[in-house]
Order: sequence, then structure tokens, then C-alpha cells
Amino acid sequence: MLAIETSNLTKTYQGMGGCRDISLAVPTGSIFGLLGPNGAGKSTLVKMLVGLLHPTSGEAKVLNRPIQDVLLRKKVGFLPENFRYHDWLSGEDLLQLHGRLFGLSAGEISRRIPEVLHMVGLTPHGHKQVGSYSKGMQQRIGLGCALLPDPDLLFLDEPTSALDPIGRKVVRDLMVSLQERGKTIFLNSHLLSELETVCDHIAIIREGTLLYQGNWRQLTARDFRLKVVIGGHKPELNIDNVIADTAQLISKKDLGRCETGKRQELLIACAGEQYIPLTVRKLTEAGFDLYEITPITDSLEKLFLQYVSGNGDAEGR
Amino acid sequence: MFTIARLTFLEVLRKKVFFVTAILSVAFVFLYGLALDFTAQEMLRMKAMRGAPLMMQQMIGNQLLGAGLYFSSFLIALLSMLASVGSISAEIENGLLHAIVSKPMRRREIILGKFLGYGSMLSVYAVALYLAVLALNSHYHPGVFSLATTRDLTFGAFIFVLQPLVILGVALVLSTVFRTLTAGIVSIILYGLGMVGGFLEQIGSAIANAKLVSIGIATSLLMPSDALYRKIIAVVTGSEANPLSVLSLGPFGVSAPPSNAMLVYVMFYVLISVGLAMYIFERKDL
Repeated sequence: MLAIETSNLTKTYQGMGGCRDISLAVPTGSIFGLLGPNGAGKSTLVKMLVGLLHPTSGEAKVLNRPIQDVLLRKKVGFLPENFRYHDWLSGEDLLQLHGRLFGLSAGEISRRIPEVLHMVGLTPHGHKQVGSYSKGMQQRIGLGCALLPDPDLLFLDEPTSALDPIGRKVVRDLMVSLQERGKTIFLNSHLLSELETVCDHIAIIREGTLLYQGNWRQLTARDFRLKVVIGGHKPELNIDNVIADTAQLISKKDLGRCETGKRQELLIACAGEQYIPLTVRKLTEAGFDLYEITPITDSLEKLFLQYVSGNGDAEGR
Repeated sequence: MFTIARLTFLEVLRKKVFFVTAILSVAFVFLYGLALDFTAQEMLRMKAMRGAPLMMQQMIGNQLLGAGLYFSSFLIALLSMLASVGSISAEIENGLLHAIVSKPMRRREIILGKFLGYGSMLSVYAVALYLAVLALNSHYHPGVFSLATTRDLTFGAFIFVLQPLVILGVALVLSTVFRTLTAGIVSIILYGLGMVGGFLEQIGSAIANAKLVSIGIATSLLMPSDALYRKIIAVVTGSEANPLSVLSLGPFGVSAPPSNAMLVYVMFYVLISVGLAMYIFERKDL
């Protein structure tokens, strides 16, 4: 099941900029991260999907309905990047307003307001004017507005840009809890560490073109590497030969002597995660003592930089 | 749509321009009342001394009523323009509309809601100002309404309310097309054009110059605010039926009152403006 499906979605301005031929598939129930350098066309894509921009060509479906169908937005929440709300209203009045704009009944609005205020951590501030809120609180009340209809799909455009570390954690936990309830979250953020924590599925765009989409953890797990600290020096054994069937030794470093004898740090490349137990077994069977095994995976940042600098392959696209 | 209308209504009441215009209006009504009081006293003095001619009383009364309605029209036009000219453009620029347009509603409902919100507030304001001017004149110079019936005065109120609606319609169109500053400048130019066109038409009519009248009519078709003012004067003073009306000419008088066809045109003008604003906004990229 797909929450978002686009086919050659294009938006250009007098033939320039924007994004071109974006064919995206966002699985239902995922936290999907959209990555790209500044000016890559990320906001253009998000704006098209929430109805702020009209596509030049191509098609897009959100929750199995064409994006031109305004009624689909009853179950879509959106936190804009440049969030700005009616600052003369109180937090509760603002939520009332957005509840009515979502077409919720008076009963639903009354029930949901305390819930979303609690979710975004603004319960004690609901009666205060939005104008008196800090930037972070304004971003959180914006998130509260987006959460009002208990949306099946939530678009978050830089949702933590104004938040402090505690606020970021609140939002991160919130995203994970929403995902656990089967909701889909489409996250546009510059903070790769944030995306790395919560997203499995990502898309990378550069200069308006889709470079990669898929499960980034699978991609980085292709070249699985291990850092292994061994003891029990056996000069007669060639480590290369010991692990030859399952892995390949990349480097070897002497760590010097300690109480239990000489130790070495090995960097080993496995063809996949499944080869780790076998490699470890071979080392122990050869008589080495294992003190530390640390899997090394590529960070999202490394993957991102590979793609945007043009060194990534087309796999996953 | 009604949520947007309610929001807009409340929002205008909070705007500084509304506050300033409200204070200016109170000051205007006070000063206008003072002027009428002095004039009435002068009339009484003249009457006691040698008897004020009825014709002069009528002339001065008409001029004062015209001045009152003219300046109140100007105030209401100012409020209409300044309050509504950024209604779309400013909210696009500051991002306020992003969270609203992404809601399950058609964009045309936003335009209609804004029109209803601004329109209802401006109508209430216009009626209050109109009634204040009429009440003051009726107190100090009751003779000025001698030819007008209650129906005429009610009709006048309807035309008076049409003035801000015309400007609101234009401002909404401009606000969907241009940025706030440009929209503001263009709407002020259009309003000024309407005033100049109205003067040209009156002068043309007074000196029987068909070309001037034609230019005036063409300008009124483009921006009919001044034509509406002339129509109000004609209706509330009954000058269309008054053989002495020609004596009431002056900067605030009317020599060639617009026909009722002009009113029908104005109503279509408002409808088409709102429709055009909807059409443009539906297609606009935010």
C-alpha cells in the first residue's frame, strides 16, 4: 500500500527550476525522509503534494486520491516550513479555527484540542496568545494544528527548525508513536541525524531530479564492515586465510600489549550481515580471543553526500 | 467559507487601520456636526435680520450634505482599500495562507469568505457613517430632505454600502495578482481615476460637452465609486425631481445623476470582481 504515489510529477517556472519527472512511492506506515541540498526542489515537491502549487505535468495520488481532490486533505496534516499563524488568537482558539477548517464537528474539536495540546507539550499554554509564544512553541502549535484531524498522512516541512533539543525529542517521539499507529509521515528536513534516527525510507533529490529512493539502511548494509579486536597472537596464522571464505581483511593494527597479551584491531569487510556470525566463528575456531566486535555501517550523511556529489549509483531509484 | 468570513471580520476589527479610521470617523462626525451647528446658527441670525431666502438655505444645506457624504465616502473607501488590499497577497507573503489553503476546502471559498467578512464589516461601518451624516443634517437642516422619502433614504443607504463593496472587489482582484504594495498603489490610482472621471462628467454635463461626459462615463465604468456617490446625492436630495437642483451645483453637487442602469452595472461589477479574484486565486501558485 502506498500513501503517496507520483508519476513524472513536474513543476517548472517558465521552464526553469522546480522539480522534474519525480516518480515517488511512499509506503503507508513509513516515516519517509526527503533529502536534498538547498534549492533542490524539496519544498516545491511538498507544496505540490499539499495543493499549494499546481503541477506543470505528471500525476500524483495521495491516500489513493488525485491531489486535485480537496476532500483527501481531511486526513492530511501539513506543517509548513515558514509557519505563521494568527498570532492574536490563543493556542486553543487557533486549534478551534483549524478544526473548523478541517471540517471537524464541534464535538470532535472539543475532544481533540486537549489531546493535541498534550501531544505537542503545550497543555499549560493553550489559553495564551500565539503571539506571546516562543518560535519553538509556535512551531509546536503548528504541529498541533496539523495533528487535529488525526491524519493518516502528515507532511512535516522542517518540523524541528525552531526547536531546542528537548522539543526535537518530543517531535521525534511523536513521529515514532504515530508510525506505530500506522500513520505515514513525510518528513522534509536538513537535519540528517534526525532523519537517520527515524526514517528507513528516503528520497534524495538534486537540482529537481530524483536521485535515489528506497530503504537507505539496506543500501548501506551492502558493504558490511566490522571492527574486531582480537588477542592471543598467533604469528603462524594468516588472518586473511582464516576468514577468506566469509570476509575480507581490509586493515590490521597492533594495539600493543596489555595484561592478557598482545591485541590487534582488524577492519573486516563482509558481503552482508549474515556473514558476521560465520566470520566470528572462524576467528574463535582459529584460537583468537575476541574482545570487541563493532559493526560499521555508512551514515546517512555519507550516503547523502555520495549522491549529491554525483558518486552514488542509480540503484534504488 | 463562513469560518473564513468570521475570521476575516474579527481580524479587520483588530487591524490598526480600522482603529485609526474609526477615530478619524468619530473626529469627522464631531467636526461636521460642529460645522452644521454654526451654519444653522448663522441661518437663524440671517432669518432674524432680513429673512434668509429659501433657495439659499436649500443650496447651503445641499452643499453641506454633499460634503458630509463625500468625506464619509472617502473614509470608507480608504478603509476598504487599506484593510483588504493585502488580504491575499500579504498572507501569501507571510505564509499565513499556506496552512489554510492546504485544508479540505476550495480556494474560491477562501475568496468568498474574505469578501463576506470584509463586506459585512464595511457595510455595518458604512451604514453607521451614513446614518450619522443623515441624522446630523436632518437635525440642523431638515429642509434638505424635503423631497426625499424614507424609501429614498433607504435606497441611498444601499448605494452607500455598494461603494466599499466595489473597492473591496477591485482590491481582492489586485491582491490575487500583485504584491501588497503594488496592489495598494494600483487601487489608489483607480480610485483617483474614478474621482477625476466623475468630475469630468459633471463639468462636461454642466457645459454641455459630450466628449467630457463620454470620458467621465468611460472612467466610471472602469471604477464606478464616484458615480455611486453622485447617485446617492441625487437620491437623498431628490435632485432628479427637483427643478432647483441646478442651483445646488458645486464641488459636492450633481448635475447629471447616473441612471439606475449604472447601479445594475455596479452590482455586476462587484460580482464579476469577486468571480475574477476566485478564478485567479484558483490557478495561483503559492
